[in-house]
Amino acid sequence: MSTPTQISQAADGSSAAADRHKPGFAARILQAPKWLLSLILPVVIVAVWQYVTVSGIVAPWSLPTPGAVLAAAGELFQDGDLSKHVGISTQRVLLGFAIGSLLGLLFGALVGLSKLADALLSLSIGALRAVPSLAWVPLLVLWMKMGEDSKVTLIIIGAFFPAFTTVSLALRHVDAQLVEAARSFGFKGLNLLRTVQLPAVVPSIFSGLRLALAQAWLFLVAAELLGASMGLGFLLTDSQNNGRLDRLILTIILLAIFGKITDALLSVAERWAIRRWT
Amino acid sequence: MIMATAFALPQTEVATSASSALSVDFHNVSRTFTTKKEQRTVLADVNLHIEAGQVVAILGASGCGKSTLLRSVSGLDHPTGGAVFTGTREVNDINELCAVAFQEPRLLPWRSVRENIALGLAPGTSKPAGIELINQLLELTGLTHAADLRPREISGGMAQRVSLARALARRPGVLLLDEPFGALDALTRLKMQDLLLSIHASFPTTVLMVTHDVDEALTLADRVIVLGRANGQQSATVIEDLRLSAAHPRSHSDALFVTNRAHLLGLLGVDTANH
Repeated sequence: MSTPTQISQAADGSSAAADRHKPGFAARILQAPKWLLSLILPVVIVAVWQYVTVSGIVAPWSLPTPGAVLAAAGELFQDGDLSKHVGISTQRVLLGFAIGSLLGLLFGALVGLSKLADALLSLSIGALRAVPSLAWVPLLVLWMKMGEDSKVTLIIIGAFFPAFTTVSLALRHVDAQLVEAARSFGFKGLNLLRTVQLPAVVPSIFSGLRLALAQAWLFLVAAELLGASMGLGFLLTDSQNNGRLDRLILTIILLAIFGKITDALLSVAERWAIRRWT
Repeated sequence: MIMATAFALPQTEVATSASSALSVDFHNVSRTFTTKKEQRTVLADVNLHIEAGQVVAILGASGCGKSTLLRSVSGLDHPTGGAVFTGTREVNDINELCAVAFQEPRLLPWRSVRENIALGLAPGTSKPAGIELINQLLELTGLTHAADLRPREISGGMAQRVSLARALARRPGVLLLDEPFGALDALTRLKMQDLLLSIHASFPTTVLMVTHDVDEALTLADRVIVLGRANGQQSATVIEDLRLSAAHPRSHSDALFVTNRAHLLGLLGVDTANH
Protein backbone atom coordinates (compact mmCIF):
# COMPACT_ATOMS: atom_id res chain seq x y z
CA MET A 1 0.00 0.00 0.00
CA SER A 2 2.76 2.35 0.79
CA THR A 3 4.60 1.96 -2.50
CA PRO A 4 2.56 4.34 -4.69
CA THR A 5 2.78 7.10 -2.13
CA GLN A 6 6.50 6.72 -1.96
CA ILE A 7 6.81 6.87 -5.72
CA SER A 8 4.69 9.97 -6.02
CA GLN A 9 6.66 11.61 -3.25
CA ALA A 10 9.87 10.79 -5.04
CA ALA A 11 8.50 12.17 -8.29
CA ASP A 12 7.36 15.37 -6.57
CA GLY A 13 10.71 15.69 -4.89
CA SER A 14 12.67 15.37 -8.13
CA SER A 15 10.49 17.84 -10.04
CA ALA A 16 10.86 20.33 -7.20
CA ALA A 17 14.62 19.81 -7.37
CA ALA A 18 14.58 20.41 -11.13
CA ASP A 19 12.63 23.65 -10.58
CA ARG A 20 15.23 24.79 -8.14
CA HIS A 21 17.99 24.34 -10.70
CA LYS A 22 16.14 26.26 -13.41
CA PRO A 23 16.96 29.95 -12.98
CA GLY A 24 13.91 32.06 -12.17
CA PHE A 25 12.63 34.94 -14.28
CA ALA A 26 14.54 37.58 -12.33
CA ALA A 27 17.73 35.52 -12.32
CA ARG A 28 17.58 35.05 -16.09
CA ILE A 29 17.06 38.77 -16.71
CA LEU A 30 19.93 39.59 -14.38
CA GLN A 31 22.29 37.71 -16.69
CA ALA A 32 22.11 40.65 -19.12
CA PRO A 33 24.67 43.45 -18.64
CA LYS A 34 23.63 45.97 -16.03
CA TRP A 35 23.92 49.01 -18.31
CA LEU A 36 21.45 47.38 -20.69
CA LEU A 37 18.97 46.79 -17.87
CA SER A 38 19.40 50.37 -16.69
CA LEU A 39 18.44 51.66 -20.12
CA ILE A 40 15.09 49.81 -20.24
CA LEU A 41 13.15 52.33 -18.16
CA PRO A 42 14.39 55.48 -19.97
CA VAL A 43 13.61 53.88 -23.34
CA VAL A 44 10.11 52.92 -22.16
CA ILE A 45 9.51 56.45 -20.87
CA VAL A 46 10.59 58.03 -24.15
CA ALA A 47 8.44 55.56 -26.09
CA VAL A 48 5.35 56.34 -23.99
CA TRP A 49 6.14 60.05 -24.25
CA GLN A 50 6.40 59.74 -28.04
CA TYR A 51 3.12 57.81 -28.20
CA VAL A 52 1.01 60.14 -26.07
CA THR A 53 2.28 63.30 -27.78
CA VAL A 54 2.15 62.12 -31.41
CA SER A 55 -1.27 60.46 -31.03
CA GLY A 56 -2.72 63.65 -29.57
CA ILE A 57 -3.68 62.16 -26.18
CA VAL A 58 -1.70 65.01 -24.61
CA ALA A 59 -1.91 68.42 -26.25
CA PRO A 60 1.37 69.77 -27.72
CA TRP A 61 1.17 72.97 -25.63
CA SER A 62 1.31 70.98 -22.42
CA LEU A 63 3.95 68.47 -23.56
CA PRO A 64 6.12 68.79 -26.70
CA THR A 65 7.20 65.65 -28.55
CA PRO A 66 10.63 64.10 -27.92
CA GLY A 67 11.55 65.19 -31.44
CA ALA A 68 10.73 68.81 -30.62
CA VAL A 69 12.95 68.68 -27.53
CA LEU A 70 15.76 67.20 -29.62
CA ALA A 71 15.26 69.93 -32.21
CA ALA A 72 15.45 72.56 -29.44
CA ALA A 73 18.73 71.03 -28.34
CA GLY A 74 20.08 71.20 -31.89
CA GLU A 75 18.99 74.80 -32.28
CA LEU A 76 20.55 75.88 -28.99
CA PHE A 77 23.70 73.97 -29.79
CA GLN A 78 24.12 75.69 -33.16
CA ASP A 79 23.67 79.12 -31.61
CA GLY A 80 26.45 78.21 -29.20
CA ASP A 81 24.01 78.98 -26.37
CA LEU A 82 23.89 75.42 -25.13
CA SER A 83 27.61 75.08 -24.46
CA LYS A 84 27.59 78.56 -22.89
CA HIS A 85 24.84 77.65 -20.43
CA VAL A 86 26.22 74.20 -19.66
CA GLY A 87 29.78 75.52 -19.38
CA ILE A 88 29.02 78.31 -16.93
CA SER A 89 26.82 76.05 -14.78
CA THR A 90 29.44 73.32 -14.65
CA GLN A 91 32.08 75.87 -13.74
CA ARG A 92 29.94 77.22 -10.89
CA VAL A 93 29.18 73.76 -9.57
CA LEU A 94 32.77 72.56 -9.69
CA LEU A 95 34.16 75.74 -8.12
CA GLY A 96 31.54 75.84 -5.37
CA PHE A 97 31.83 72.09 -4.76
CA ALA A 98 35.64 72.21 -4.55
CA ILE A 99 35.72 75.10 -2.07
CA GLY A 100 32.67 74.03 -0.08
CA SER A 101 33.62 70.39 0.33
CA LEU A 102 37.22 71.30 1.21
CA LEU A 103 36.01 73.67 3.94
CA GLY A 104 33.54 71.00 5.04
CA LEU A 105 36.30 68.40 5.33
CA LEU A 106 38.52 70.78 7.29
CA PHE A 107 35.85 71.85 9.77
CA GLY A 108 34.55 68.27 9.94
CA ALA A 109 38.03 67.03 10.85
CA LEU A 110 38.37 69.74 13.48
CA VAL A 111 35.02 69.02 15.12
CA GLY A 112 35.44 65.23 14.78
CA LEU A 113 38.87 65.17 16.40
CA SER A 114 38.77 67.93 18.98
CA LYS A 115 36.27 67.88 21.80
CA LEU A 116 36.91 71.59 22.31
CA ALA A 117 36.13 72.45 18.69
CA ASP A 118 33.06 70.23 18.92
CA ALA A 119 31.82 72.08 22.00
CA LEU A 120 32.53 75.49 20.48
CA LEU A 121 31.30 74.96 16.92
CA SER A 122 28.72 72.19 16.71
CA LEU A 123 25.72 74.20 17.86
CA SER A 124 26.42 77.13 15.54
CA ILE A 125 27.16 75.00 12.50
CA GLY A 126 24.06 72.92 13.18
CA ALA A 127 21.93 76.06 13.37
CA LEU A 128 23.38 77.45 10.12
CA ARG A 129 22.67 74.12 8.52
CA ALA A 130 19.02 74.40 9.49
CA VAL A 131 18.63 77.59 7.41
CA PRO A 132 16.83 76.68 4.15
CA SER A 133 19.05 77.25 1.13
CA LEU A 134 16.79 79.84 -0.52
CA ALA A 135 16.88 82.02 2.60
CA TRP A 136 20.49 82.91 1.82
CA VAL A 137 19.77 84.19 -1.66
CA PRO A 138 18.45 87.71 -0.92
CA LEU A 139 21.29 88.33 1.52
CA LEU A 140 23.97 87.09 -0.83
CA VAL A 141 22.54 89.17 -3.69
CA LEU A 142 22.52 92.29 -1.52
CA TRP A 143 26.09 91.70 -0.37
CA MET A 144 27.67 90.47 -3.57
CA LYS A 145 25.31 91.72 -6.27
CA MET A 146 24.14 89.41 -9.02
CA GLY A 147 27.59 88.29 -10.21
CA GLU A 148 29.41 85.02 -9.97
CA ASP A 149 30.40 85.50 -6.33
CA SER A 150 26.91 85.26 -4.94
CA LYS A 151 26.12 82.12 -6.94
CA VAL A 152 29.36 80.32 -6.13
CA THR A 153 28.98 81.27 -2.46
CA LEU A 154 25.52 79.73 -2.33
CA ILE A 155 26.91 76.52 -3.85
CA ILE A 156 29.78 76.57 -1.34
CA ILE A 157 27.19 76.71 1.44
CA GLY A 158 25.36 73.80 -0.17
CA ALA A 159 28.44 71.60 -0.55
CA PHE A 160 29.84 72.43 2.89
CA PHE A 161 27.30 70.70 5.12
CA PRO A 162 27.21 67.15 3.72
CA ALA A 163 31.03 67.02 3.70
CA PHE A 164 31.21 68.49 7.19
CA THR A 165 28.61 66.16 8.71
CA THR A 166 29.87 62.87 7.25
CA VAL A 167 33.50 63.53 8.11
CA SER A 168 32.92 64.80 11.64
CA LEU A 169 30.66 61.83 12.42
CA ALA A 170 33.03 59.30 10.82
CA LEU A 171 36.02 60.62 12.77
CA ARG A 172 34.10 60.39 16.01
CA HIS A 173 33.30 56.76 15.27
CA VAL A 174 36.76 55.53 14.29
CA ASP A 175 37.28 52.17 16.03
CA ALA A 176 38.50 53.16 19.52
CA GLN A 177 40.37 49.86 19.84
CA LEU A 178 42.48 50.60 16.76
CA VAL A 179 43.27 54.05 18.09
CA GLU A 180 44.23 52.61 21.46
CA ALA A 181 46.46 49.97 19.85
CA ALA A 182 48.29 52.66 17.87
CA ARG A 183 48.57 54.84 21.00
CA SER A 184 50.14 51.94 22.87
CA PHE A 185 52.90 51.98 20.22
CA GLY A 186 53.50 55.66 20.90
CA PHE A 187 51.48 57.19 18.06
CA LYS A 188 49.92 60.51 18.96
CA GLY A 189 48.76 63.81 17.49
CA LEU A 190 49.37 64.27 13.77
CA ASN A 191 51.11 60.92 13.49
CA LEU A 192 48.09 59.12 14.92
CA LEU A 193 45.81 61.10 12.59
CA ARG A 194 47.91 60.18 9.56
CA THR A 195 48.32 56.52 10.50
CA VAL A 196 44.90 55.56 11.84
CA GLN A 197 42.16 58.16 11.88
CA LEU A 198 42.43 59.59 8.36
CA PRO A 199 42.77 56.25 6.54
CA ALA A 200 39.84 54.91 8.57
CA VAL A 201 37.52 57.67 7.32
CA VAL A 202 38.58 57.70 3.65
CA PRO A 203 35.48 55.79 2.48
CA SER A 204 33.26 58.18 4.46
CA ILE A 205 35.03 61.15 2.91
CA PHE A 206 34.04 59.93 -0.53
CA SER A 207 30.41 59.32 0.39
CA GLY A 208 30.39 62.80 1.93
CA LEU A 209 31.79 64.22 -1.31
CA ARG A 210 29.06 62.51 -3.34
CA LEU A 211 26.37 64.03 -1.15
CA ALA A 212 28.11 67.41 -1.38
CA LEU A 213 28.18 67.23 -5.16
CA ALA A 214 24.46 66.44 -5.31
CA GLN A 215 23.80 69.42 -3.03
CA ALA A 216 26.02 71.60 -5.23
CA TRP A 217 23.79 70.95 -8.28
CA LEU A 218 20.72 71.61 -6.13
CA PHE A 219 22.03 74.95 -4.95
CA LEU A 220 23.24 75.84 -8.44
CA VAL A 221 19.71 75.79 -9.79
CA ALA A 222 18.46 77.72 -6.76
CA ALA A 223 21.10 80.39 -7.39
CA GLU A 224 20.48 80.61 -11.12
CA LEU A 225 16.70 80.57 -10.89
CA LEU A 226 16.70 83.70 -8.78
CA GLY A 227 18.90 85.91 -10.87
CA ALA A 228 21.27 84.99 -13.66
CA SER A 229 21.82 85.82 -17.30
CA MET A 230 23.47 82.51 -18.13
CA GLY A 231 23.41 78.91 -16.98
CA LEU A 232 20.95 76.05 -16.85
CA GLY A 233 18.87 77.64 -14.10
CA PHE A 234 18.57 80.80 -16.22
CA LEU A 235 17.53 78.65 -19.18
CA LEU A 236 14.72 77.26 -17.01
CA THR A 237 13.27 80.67 -16.07
CA ASP A 238 13.89 82.07 -19.54
CA SER A 239 12.04 79.16 -21.14
CA GLN A 240 9.21 79.52 -18.66
CA ASN A 241 8.81 83.22 -19.47
CA ASN A 242 8.83 82.57 -23.23
CA GLY A 243 6.61 79.52 -23.04
CA ARG A 244 9.37 77.33 -24.50
CA LEU A 245 8.30 74.04 -23.00
CA ASP A 246 10.71 72.14 -25.28
CA ARG A 247 13.71 74.01 -23.84
CA LEU A 248 12.40 73.63 -20.31
CA ILE A 249 12.20 69.87 -20.61
CA LEU A 250 15.57 69.82 -22.37
CA THR A 251 17.14 71.65 -19.41
CA ILE A 252 15.65 69.24 -16.89
CA ILE A 253 17.03 66.32 -18.89
CA LEU A 254 20.44 68.01 -19.09
CA LEU A 255 20.49 68.54 -15.33
CA ALA A 256 19.69 64.87 -14.81
CA ILE A 257 22.43 63.80 -17.23
CA PHE A 258 25.18 66.07 -15.89
CA GLY A 259 24.27 65.38 -12.27
CA LYS A 260 24.42 61.65 -12.91
CA ILE A 261 27.70 61.82 -14.84
CA THR A 262 29.54 63.75 -12.13
CA ASP A 263 28.08 61.46 -9.46
CA ALA A 264 29.17 58.37 -11.41
CA LEU A 265 32.73 59.69 -11.62
CA LEU A 266 32.83 60.16 -7.86
CA SER A 267 31.27 56.75 -7.23
CA VAL A 268 34.11 55.13 -9.18
CA ALA A 269 36.54 56.93 -6.87
CA GLU A 270 34.45 55.90 -3.86
CA ARG A 271 34.51 52.22 -4.83
CA TRP A 272 38.27 52.40 -5.28
CA ALA A 273 38.60 53.99 -1.85
CA ILE A 274 36.48 51.33 -0.17
CA ARG A 275 38.61 48.59 -1.76
CA ARG A 276 41.81 50.34 -0.79
CA TRP A 277 40.97 51.46 2.75
CA THR A 278 38.81 48.73 4.27
CA MET B 1 66.36 29.71 29.00
CA ILE B 2 66.30 33.42 28.27
CA MET B 3 69.58 33.22 26.48
CA ALA B 4 68.64 30.24 24.35
CA THR B 5 68.11 31.40 20.80
CA ALA B 6 66.48 29.52 17.94
CA PHE B 7 68.47 31.63 15.51
CA ALA B 8 70.89 34.50 15.89
CA LEU B 9 69.24 37.91 15.89
CA PRO B 10 71.14 40.90 14.54
CA GLN B 11 70.87 42.75 17.81
CA THR B 12 73.52 45.26 16.93
CA GLU B 13 71.50 46.48 13.96
CA VAL B 14 68.42 47.06 16.09
CA ALA B 15 70.15 49.35 18.48
CA THR B 16 67.44 51.94 19.04
CA SER B 17 65.02 49.78 21.00
CA ALA B 18 65.29 47.88 24.22
CA SER B 19 66.81 44.61 23.17
CA SER B 20 66.98 43.06 26.61
CA ALA B 21 64.36 42.12 29.12
CA LEU B 22 63.39 44.61 31.83
CA SER B 23 62.18 44.03 35.34
CA VAL B 24 58.77 45.35 36.38
CA ASP B 25 58.00 46.76 39.81
CA PHE B 26 54.67 47.67 41.33
CA HIS B 27 54.95 49.86 44.41
CA ASN B 28 51.74 50.11 46.42
CA VAL B 29 49.71 50.38 43.24
CA SER B 30 46.04 51.20 43.61
CA ARG B 31 43.42 52.28 41.11
CA THR B 32 40.13 53.95 41.93
CA PHE B 33 37.54 54.66 39.26
CA THR B 34 35.41 57.70 39.95
CA THR B 35 31.97 58.09 38.42
CA LYS B 36 29.32 60.67 39.21
CA LYS B 37 27.56 58.24 41.51
CA GLU B 38 30.36 56.46 43.31
CA GLN B 39 34.01 55.77 43.81
CA ARG B 40 35.09 52.21 43.20
CA THR B 41 38.53 50.99 44.18
CA VAL B 42 39.43 48.09 41.91
CA LEU B 43 43.02 47.51 42.91
CA ALA B 44 44.76 48.27 46.18
CA ASP B 45 48.18 47.63 47.73
CA VAL B 46 49.68 45.76 44.81
CA ASN B 47 53.36 45.18 45.52
CA LEU B 48 55.30 43.01 43.11
CA HIS B 49 58.79 42.66 41.82
CA ILE B 50 59.00 40.81 38.52
CA GLU B 51 62.46 39.77 37.45
CA ALA B 52 63.65 40.50 33.95
CA GLY B 53 62.96 37.71 31.50
CA GLN B 54 60.25 35.95 33.51
CA VAL B 55 56.99 34.79 32.00
CA VAL B 56 54.32 35.83 34.48
CA ALA B 57 50.66 34.87 34.21
CA ILE B 58 48.06 37.01 35.97
CA LEU B 59 44.90 35.16 36.94
CA GLY B 60 41.76 36.42 38.57
CA ALA B 61 38.00 36.52 38.35
CA SER B 62 36.38 38.88 35.84
CA GLY B 63 36.47 42.52 36.85
CA CYS B 64 39.19 42.14 39.48
CA GLY B 65 41.58 44.53 37.74
CA LYS B 66 43.88 42.19 35.78
CA SER B 67 43.71 44.30 32.63
CA THR B 68 43.95 47.49 34.67
CA LEU B 69 47.20 46.24 36.17
CA LEU B 70 48.55 45.44 32.70
CA ARG B 71 47.45 48.82 31.35
CA SER B 72 49.31 50.57 34.13
CA VAL B 73 52.54 49.05 32.80
CA SER B 74 51.85 50.13 29.21
CA GLY B 75 50.89 53.62 30.31
CA LEU B 76 47.44 53.33 28.73
CA ASP B 77 46.05 53.70 32.25
CA HIS B 78 47.50 55.39 35.32
CA PRO B 79 47.33 54.16 38.91
CA THR B 80 45.61 56.55 41.31
CA GLY B 81 48.13 55.59 43.96
CA GLY B 82 51.65 54.18 44.02
CA ALA B 83 54.00 53.79 41.07
CA VAL B 84 54.98 51.33 38.35
CA PHE B 85 58.56 50.93 37.13
CA THR B 86 59.94 49.14 34.10
CA GLY B 87 63.64 48.67 34.68
CA THR B 88 64.54 51.77 36.67
CA ARG B 89 62.14 54.09 34.86
CA GLU B 90 58.83 55.11 36.35
CA VAL B 91 55.88 54.80 33.97
CA ASN B 92 54.29 58.21 33.45
CA ASP B 93 53.12 58.38 29.86
CA ILE B 94 52.78 55.75 27.12
CA ASN B 95 55.60 53.34 27.91
CA GLU B 96 57.63 52.81 24.75
CA LEU B 97 59.71 50.08 26.38
CA CYS B 98 56.60 47.90 26.34
CA ALA B 99 54.49 46.41 23.61
CA VAL B 100 50.92 45.21 23.98
CA ALA B 101 49.02 42.43 22.23
CA PHE B 102 45.32 42.69 22.94
CA GLN B 103 42.58 40.08 23.06
CA GLU B 104 41.48 41.27 19.59
CA PRO B 105 44.18 41.51 16.91
CA ARG B 106 43.38 45.22 16.30
CA LEU B 107 45.07 45.30 12.90
CA LEU B 108 44.68 48.21 10.49
CA PRO B 109 42.42 46.80 7.75
CA TRP B 110 43.97 48.92 4.99
CA ARG B 111 47.50 47.69 5.62
CA SER B 112 49.04 44.36 4.63
CA VAL B 113 50.29 41.93 7.26
CA ARG B 114 53.83 43.17 6.70
CA GLU B 115 52.82 46.84 7.02
CA ASN B 116 50.85 46.07 10.16
CA ILE B 117 53.88 44.48 11.78
CA ALA B 118 55.94 47.52 10.73
CA LEU B 119 53.63 49.65 12.88
CA GLY B 120 55.33 48.15 15.93
CA LEU B 121 58.89 49.05 14.90
CA ALA B 122 60.57 51.33 17.41
CA PRO B 123 60.88 54.93 16.18
CA GLY B 124 64.30 55.53 14.63
CA THR B 125 64.71 51.96 13.38
CA SER B 126 66.66 52.14 10.13
CA LYS B 127 64.87 50.88 7.04
CA PRO B 128 67.08 47.86 6.31
CA ALA B 129 67.09 46.84 9.98
CA GLY B 130 63.29 47.15 10.03
CA ILE B 131 62.87 44.99 6.94
CA GLU B 132 65.26 42.41 8.33
CA LEU B 133 63.45 42.24 11.67
CA ILE B 134 60.01 41.98 10.03
CA ASN B 135 61.20 39.14 7.81
CA GLN B 136 62.47 37.29 10.88
CA LEU B 137 59.19 37.84 12.71
CA LEU B 138 57.19 36.68 9.69
CA GLU B 139 59.22 33.50 9.66
CA LEU B 140 59.02 32.98 13.41
CA THR B 141 55.23 33.33 13.39
CA GLY B 142 54.83 31.29 10.21
CA LEU B 143 53.36 34.17 8.24
CA THR B 144 55.89 34.58 5.44
CA HIS B 145 53.43 33.30 2.84
CA ALA B 146 50.76 35.75 4.06
CA ALA B 147 52.99 38.83 4.29
CA ASP B 148 51.20 40.77 1.57
CA LEU B 149 47.64 39.78 2.47
CA ARG B 150 45.20 42.13 4.17
CA PRO B 151 43.78 41.35 7.64
CA ARG B 152 40.37 40.48 6.20
CA GLU B 153 41.97 37.80 4.06
CA ILE B 154 43.50 35.82 6.94
CA SER B 155 42.07 33.67 9.75
CA GLY B 156 41.59 34.76 13.36
CA GLY B 157 44.57 32.73 14.53
CA MET B 158 46.80 34.27 11.87
CA ALA B 159 45.59 37.75 12.75
CA GLN B 160 46.49 37.11 16.37
CA ARG B 161 49.99 36.00 15.29
CA VAL B 162 50.33 39.25 13.31
CA SER B 163 49.36 41.13 16.46
CA LEU B 164 52.05 39.24 18.38
CA ALA B 165 54.63 39.91 15.66
CA ARG B 166 53.72 43.60 15.68
CA ALA B 167 54.34 43.72 19.44
CA LEU B 168 57.68 41.93 19.04
CA ALA B 169 58.75 44.33 16.28
CA ARG B 170 59.11 46.90 19.04
CA ARG B 171 61.81 44.66 20.62
CA PRO B 172 60.03 45.36 23.91
CA GLY B 173 61.68 45.07 27.28
CA VAL B 174 58.29 43.94 28.57
CA LEU B 175 55.73 42.16 26.42
CA LEU B 176 52.18 42.68 27.70
CA LEU B 177 49.58 40.14 26.61
CA ASP B 178 45.96 40.90 27.53
CA GLU B 179 44.20 37.55 27.09
CA PRO B 180 45.84 37.22 23.69
CA PHE B 181 44.44 33.75 22.99
CA GLY B 182 41.09 34.24 24.68
CA ALA B 183 39.10 34.60 21.48
CA LEU B 184 40.70 31.66 19.65
CA ASP B 185 39.42 28.12 19.28
CA ALA B 186 40.93 25.47 21.56
CA LEU B 187 43.26 23.97 18.94
CA THR B 188 44.63 27.29 17.67
CA ARG B 189 45.06 28.30 21.27
CA LEU B 190 47.38 25.38 22.01
CA LYS B 191 49.46 26.18 18.92
CA MET B 192 49.70 29.81 20.00
CA GLN B 193 50.93 28.73 23.43
CA ASP B 194 53.74 26.74 21.80
CA LEU B 195 54.51 29.73 19.61
CA LEU B 196 54.73 32.00 22.64
CA LEU B 197 57.27 29.69 24.27
CA SER B 198 59.44 29.60 21.15
CA ILE B 199 59.13 33.37 20.79
CA HIS B 200 60.25 33.80 24.34
CA ALA B 201 63.24 31.60 23.58
CA SER B 202 64.18 33.78 20.58
CA PHE B 203 63.45 37.20 22.02
CA PRO B 204 64.75 37.95 25.49
CA THR B 205 61.85 39.81 27.03
CA THR B 206 59.78 39.83 30.17
CA VAL B 207 56.25 38.59 29.50
CA LEU B 208 53.25 39.68 31.55
CA MET B 209 50.11 37.92 30.43
CA VAL B 210 46.57 38.17 31.67
CA THR B 211 44.57 34.99 31.26
CA HIS B 212 41.38 33.30 32.43
CA ASP B 213 42.81 29.88 31.76
CA VAL B 214 44.48 28.13 34.70
CA ASP B 215 45.95 25.42 32.43
CA GLU B 216 47.42 28.05 30.15
CA ALA B 217 49.03 29.80 33.10
CA LEU B 218 50.47 26.56 34.46
CA THR B 219 51.76 25.52 31.03
CA LEU B 220 53.48 28.76 30.11
CA ALA B 221 54.43 30.73 33.16
CA ASP B 222 57.47 30.84 35.43
CA ARG B 223 55.26 32.50 37.96
CA VAL B 224 51.50 32.74 38.47
CA ILE B 225 49.97 35.71 40.24
CA VAL B 226 46.37 35.57 41.36
CA LEU B 227 44.43 38.77 41.94
CA GLY B 228 41.39 38.58 44.15
CA ARG B 229 39.48 40.10 47.01
CA ALA B 230 40.66 39.01 50.43
CA ASN B 231 37.92 38.38 52.99
CA GLY B 232 35.46 41.25 53.11
CA GLN B 233 37.62 43.55 50.99
CA GLN B 234 36.01 45.61 48.25
CA SER B 235 39.16 45.93 46.16
CA ALA B 236 41.42 43.25 44.72
CA THR B 237 45.05 42.66 45.48
CA VAL B 238 47.62 39.87 45.10
CA ILE B 239 46.27 36.80 46.91
CA GLU B 240 48.69 34.21 45.53
CA ASP B 241 52.16 34.32 44.07
CA LEU B 242 53.16 30.91 42.80
CA ARG B 243 56.58 30.16 41.35
CA LEU B 244 56.82 27.29 38.89
CA SER B 245 60.23 25.88 38.16
CA ALA B 246 59.35 22.83 36.03
CA ALA B 247 61.02 22.77 32.62
CA HIS B 248 59.06 23.04 29.38
CA PRO B 249 57.23 21.17 27.96
CA ARG B 250 55.11 20.50 31.03
CA SER B 251 52.92 17.47 31.43
CA HIS B 252 49.34 18.19 32.50
CA SER B 253 49.24 14.88 34.36
CA ASP B 254 52.28 15.67 36.50
CA ALA B 255 51.38 15.46 40.19
CA LEU B 256 52.55 19.00 40.97
CA PHE B 257 50.66 20.36 37.97
CA VAL B 258 47.46 18.72 39.21
CA THR B 259 47.94 20.00 42.75
CA ASN B 260 48.67 23.53 41.57
CA ARG B 261 45.69 23.44 39.24
CA ALA B 262 43.33 22.44 42.06
CA HIS B 263 44.82 25.11 44.32
CA LEU B 264 44.46 27.90 41.72
CA LEU B 265 40.95 26.89 40.71
CA GLY B 266 40.04 26.90 44.39
CA LEU B 267 41.34 30.45 44.75
CA LEU B 268 39.21 31.45 41.76
CA GLY B 269 36.14 30.02 43.44
CA VAL B 270 35.77 26.89 41.32
CA ASP B 271 34.88 23.60 42.98
CA THR B 272 37.62 21.28 41.70
CA ALA B 273 35.64 18.12 42.39
CA ASN B 274 33.77 18.75 39.14
CA HIS B 275 36.76 19.64 36.98
